Amino acid sequence: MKKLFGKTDLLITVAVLVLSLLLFIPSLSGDTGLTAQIIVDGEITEEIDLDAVEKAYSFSPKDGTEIEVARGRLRFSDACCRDELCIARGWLSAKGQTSACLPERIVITIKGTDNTDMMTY
Amino acid sequence: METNKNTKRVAMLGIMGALALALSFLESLIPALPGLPPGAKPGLSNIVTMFMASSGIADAFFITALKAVFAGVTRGTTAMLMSASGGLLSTAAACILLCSKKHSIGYIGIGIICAVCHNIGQLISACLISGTPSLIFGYGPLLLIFAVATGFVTGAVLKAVIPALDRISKSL
Repeated sequence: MKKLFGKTDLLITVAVLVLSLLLFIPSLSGDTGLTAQIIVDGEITEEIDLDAVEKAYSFSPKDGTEIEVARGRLRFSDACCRDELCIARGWLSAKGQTSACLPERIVITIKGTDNTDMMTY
Repeated sequence: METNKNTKRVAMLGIMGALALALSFLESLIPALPGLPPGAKPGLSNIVTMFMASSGIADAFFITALKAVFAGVTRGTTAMLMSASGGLLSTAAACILLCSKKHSIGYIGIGIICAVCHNIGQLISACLISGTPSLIFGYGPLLLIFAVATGFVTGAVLKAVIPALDRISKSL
């Protein structure tokens, strides 16, 4: 009979938490400005400087999907799938936050401004 | 004798399959919690696949496939792909860890590894479906932390319910 929790289990717990922190580091880079990226079918189709948004607006990168942009934040506001997980993700307003609509292959994410050389796709 | 064994196996798969689907459905009723990635679930039905993995590899993968089909029928193709990719990786890990006696990993460690494998499988398929590898950084950290929490629970529950599930298995 195996035991419930031992030293090895503690080690596994710590290792996973450390890995999670390491994966989070890239999201912290860049300065304090917020730039939203709209990625459709794996291609960046739009970059929006969220600090410069004067008035809230919506647009549809694909039929049935709607993205709402406001100063400092953005979100999926309409989707055509059944579970609508992208809408449930709510507003994105901090660096590193990401929301994905898998059926339509649309990803929205927020990066620090001047951060474009950090990641290559 | 051989027929008797097969009948037992079919009955066991029926009971465990029903249990896994009922737990999957129960989880789908949980609303999206703030701060957690939407769609993240406690993985209660993984307790069933982990239990099956401790007795037979083929049966464990059968339950995993059943869950994926159920997700496909009730929630669509994307949900089916996510369920299958996470389930296959997690069940493979469960089979290796629960069948081998050459390690000192306890139930909670196994639960966490299975949950991490489940989330990694889903994250990889999400990256492939969307064509956006950077999702690893967007969702990865949260999913890993969540996997530690859910793995802790499923591992502990597994140890607690194994005697009861064993009794069902023996009474058949």
